[in-house]
Order: sequence, then C-alpha cells, then structure tokens
Amino acid sequence: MRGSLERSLQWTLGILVLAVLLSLTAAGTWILLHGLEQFAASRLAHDAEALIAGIPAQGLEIERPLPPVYSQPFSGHYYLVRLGDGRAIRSRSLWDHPFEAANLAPGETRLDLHSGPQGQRLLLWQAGYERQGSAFTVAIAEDLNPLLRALARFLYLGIGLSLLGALILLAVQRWLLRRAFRQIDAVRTDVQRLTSGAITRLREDVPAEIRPLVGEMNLLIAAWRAHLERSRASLGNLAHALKSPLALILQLAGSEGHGAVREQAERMRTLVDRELKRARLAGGGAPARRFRAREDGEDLIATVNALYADKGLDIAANIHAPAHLPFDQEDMLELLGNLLDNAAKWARGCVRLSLDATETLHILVEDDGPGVEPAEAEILLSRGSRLDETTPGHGLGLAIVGDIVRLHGGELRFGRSESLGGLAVKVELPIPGAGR
Amino acid sequence: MRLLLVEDDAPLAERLQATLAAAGYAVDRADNGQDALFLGRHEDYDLAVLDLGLPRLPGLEVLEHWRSEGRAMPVLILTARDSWRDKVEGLKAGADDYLAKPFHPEELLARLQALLRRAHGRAAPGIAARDFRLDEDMQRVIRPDGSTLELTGTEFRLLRYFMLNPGKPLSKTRLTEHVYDQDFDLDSNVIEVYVRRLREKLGQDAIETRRGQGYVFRG
Repeated sequence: MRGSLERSLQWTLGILVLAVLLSLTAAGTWILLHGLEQFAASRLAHDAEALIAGIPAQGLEIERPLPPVYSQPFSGHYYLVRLGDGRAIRSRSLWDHPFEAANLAPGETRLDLHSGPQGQRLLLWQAGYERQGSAFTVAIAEDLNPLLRALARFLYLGIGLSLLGALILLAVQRWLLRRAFRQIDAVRTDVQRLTSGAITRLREDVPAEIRPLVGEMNLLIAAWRAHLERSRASLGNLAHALKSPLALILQLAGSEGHGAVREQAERMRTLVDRELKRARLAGGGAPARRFRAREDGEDLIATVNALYADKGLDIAANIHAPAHLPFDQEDMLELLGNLLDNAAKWARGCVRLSLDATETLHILVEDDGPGVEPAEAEILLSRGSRLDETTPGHGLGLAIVGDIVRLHGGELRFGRSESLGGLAVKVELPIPGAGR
Repeated sequence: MRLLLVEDDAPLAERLQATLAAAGYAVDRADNGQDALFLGRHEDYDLAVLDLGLPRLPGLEVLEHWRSEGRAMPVLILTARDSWRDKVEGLKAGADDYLAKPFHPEELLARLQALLRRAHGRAAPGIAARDFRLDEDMQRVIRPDGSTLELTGTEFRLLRYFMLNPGKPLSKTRLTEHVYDQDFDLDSNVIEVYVRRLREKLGQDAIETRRGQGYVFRG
C-alpha cells in the first residue's frame, strides 16, 4: 500500500514553500546589502570632495572643517590624505590607529573593505587626485557594522517570517486537503456500508476527480448483482426442468418395481439437489438482500411448524439481533431452515432456536430428539462431500449447512443439548464489517 | 375426496393423476394458472395440489387469489423450487404444506391424508369412527377385533368422505362431486346403491337418510 496522499503532499509542499521563502529572503538581503554599500560609497565620495576642497597648500590642517563625527575618536568615520611629498593628513577620529592609504595615480579610485579599530569593519573609498602639479590620495572610510547589524536583524526577521508563512500555508493546505478528503471519506464509509449491506450502491455526489471511479464501481456492483440474480434464476429454471422428469421417473420406477432405476433416480435427485443448492449460495460479499434475523426467523419457524404440523411441535426462538444483518438472506434462510428442519425431524416435542448477533453471529438450534454421538456428527458433516455414498435425502440439509458455514468463514459444532437433551447444533459466523 | 391437481408437466400430471385416483381421490387437472384459478374458484374441492411454476399465472398468485376470495381448502404446494425462501413465501401465501420435487409418491399421499385429517379437525393419524378404523393405505375397514373388511374403490371414497364429515347432512350431489371427478358424468342415484352397500357392511344405522337433505353418517 502506498503512503498517505495527504502526508506526501504536506511534505513536498512544505519543503517547497520554505525553500522559496528562504531564497526570497536571501535575495532580499543581498540586494539590500549591495544598495547600502553603494549608498555609503556615494556618501563617502561626497565627503571626500568636501575634504579636498579644504586641503591647504601648506601645513597639515584642513581649512574647512568636516562634520564633527570626523573629530570624535573611533567614531567610525575616518579620513586620511596622503600628499605627494609623503606627508599625511589624518582625521582626529583615527586617534592612534595606524591607517595607511594606497598611493593611487590621479583619477584612479578604489572601493574595498578594511578592518578598522575596535573590530570595526570599514568601507574604504580611495581616490588619486592632482592639484596644481602635486598629486595626492584621499582615503575616506566608514564603519559598516551598524548597517550590517540592521541588515542581520532584517535577515532574521525575514527567516522568521518565512518559517511562519510556511507554517500558515501548510495549515491552510492541510485544512483544504482535509476538506477535499472528507468527500473521499464519504466514499470510503459508503464502501463500508456497501460491504455490510446497508446500501446497495455508492452515492455519486462526489468530487469530479473520483466520480468516474465511483461510477465504475457502481456499474460493477450492478453487474455483479445482476449476474448473481441471473444465475440464481437460471439455476432455479434448470432445477425445475430437471426435477419434473425426475419426479416422473420416481413415480414410474416406484409403481413398476424397477429397483435399480429408482436407485439411480434417487442418486440423480441427491446430486441435483446438492449441486443446485450449493451453486445458489452467495457466500460473503455485498448481499443481494439482507437477512432480517427476527422476521426471517419467525417466518421460518411458522414454515417448519406448518411442515411438521402433525407432530404439534413447540418451536420457540430467542433472537437478539439488529433489524438487519449483513448476510445474504437466501443463504441464511437455507442455513436456519435446514437446521430447524433437521431439529423438527428428530424432535419429540420441542425445538429451541437462539440467535445472538454482537461481534459474531451465534446460532444455536436444539431439540429433544435422540441426538447424535460425536462420531456420527462427523459423518453427518462429511455427507454430501462424497455424494455416491450418501443415503438419499438424509443429512443432506446438514451438509448444506456445512457448505454455507464454510462459505462465510464460520464454525459449525455438534453437541448434546443441555436443556433439551437432544442434538445441539452451534454455528458461529463472523459478521462482515463488525471488526472495522 | 375431490382433488384439484395443478401441474403443467403433462407426463408427470398424468402419472400423478393415476396415483391419486388409485388412492381414492377424484382428480381434476389444470395445466395452467388461469384454469387453476377458475376451477378453484367455482368448484368445491377438498384438496389442491399446486405447482408454482405455471404458465399464464404463477402458482403463488393463484393461491393468493383463492385465499383472498375465501377458498379455504387445504393446498399442498408441489414444486421443483425447494429453497427455504420459496417455502416461506408459499406458506405465507396460504399453503398448508410444501413438498419439493422430485418426491416419493407415498410421501405425497401421506401428506395429503394428513392435510385432510387436519382440515377436518383430527390430529390423530388414521380415521376412526363408531367402533372401526379406516385403513387409508389398504382402503379397508379394520374392526376392533383386528379383522378387516374389504372395500371397493368407490365404497372407500364414499366412506372416507362420510367419516371425515360425521353428523353432517350430505346431499347426493355433494357426495357425487367428492367421490367422482369432473369428467365423470353420473346419475347421482348411483350414490344410493353405494350407500346401501356400506349399510350392509357397517350396519343399517351407520348412515341415516334425511329426506330432502341427503345422508348423515352417525359417528
């Protein structure tokens, strides 16, 4: 069985969403970093121009002062002018930090990162100039750490929001999936109810994606049901067609004393009976018509009472079961009918039927007849499996009961009735759909 | 005893008619549902043997019609359909007994006799009246000392009908109908002859003549 659709969708989509959001954050951070660097560089260039304007012809004092930030020690804003004769003008903010500038040709500029005092990370802009025949280089720097810190905050916020976004998306998706799957769940419960016989076809008001599947299943169910009905009908017809001639053969043989003919006709009758009954059984699967324990039980008792009217039997039932049970009605009628018939045949005056359906269907049929010995019971059960050795008619009912119990995966036991003293037949059948 | 046999399988029906006639029944035959419905409606039968798979009208419907119209004669369903569902449905429709084909003729006869006894309110097997018993299998009378009295077919049929309806006045027409089958066109005076013979065998007071009403069997 493949894993759950929902889980695999959750995983793939979750990972995908997270990757997209994280790369968006990374790209954003990179763009921001780049922009900030450009912004800082252009500010540095502007400051440099102001600086150049203030460079004196003689001496080392800048004539026009720059903003005070260049005077506070280690403020993060620094400059250094390297004159052509080797002298250098340093900003006061550099204090005692050794700071060198490259010797650049006039017109040449350079932008790079440089480590500064107190762990500062400096963006260093340098340019070579020439004024009145003398060349000099201006180096101006700004600490990027505050900007980088702000950027890091942005990055963390971005990652946090990405994770949150991914979680929200997953939750929404889960909700959507659940909603979609609930409709599929309806199909699943329908299938279960179909197996247990509560409904005869699946509802077709399902999402378009699974409608063809449901439709196809309904067609299959209908075809199967029609097939079952048809084979039952044609078997009934075959039985009818075969039985009337057989009845006639029995009549002729009976009155004119053809012992061998009669014997063969009896064998044919047993064969036809057994095989037709066997073929008619439905076994498990969706029942064509469901067994109604109480009504069907009472109908059968009335029928058996009428068939054995001469014996004036007291047949009573004790039935604890829901109105409908997920068994094929025909199968159960055959099962109970044959059990009751057998009990009525041997009973002296009393037959009891108990039926109890909780997790398993328990059926107990008892009588006050002679009962059977355990060894005899075995023979009763195997009768019919070796048709040629059977005594016609006798025990055939119980063999059919054995067939039905086997078909439904149940158990059949013979014993002595504790309350009535005769035969007790115990049947246990698993109820389809009860364990789920 | 007048019996309606509804069976569409001609060879089987013929054979059954012979068997039933030999057992002392006056048998009328129908080979389709509509004829069966008509005969059951308009004739007075003591018994009906009904097949279920019939042309023109299914046996179960025939039976339901009879019952809804108040026809109460005992009906035995004789059919190839031997599932318990069929049995339950047959008895619900109003049948009194159900026998699946193929069957032993003796079983059919035994069940018919039981049905007749039940219909006449006798639970015990065998028909007994006065100081003798009627042996239905051998068609003879058994006296208390064990000696037997042989009967002809007509005598047996007539005596059985008398014994199943003791104390009731029975007209000659009714007796004729229940002793002979439909095709038997007979002057009802023949009944007088048989009544006289029965009186000779059983005693003059066994059957009383009631002017204008017919005969009464003194049980």
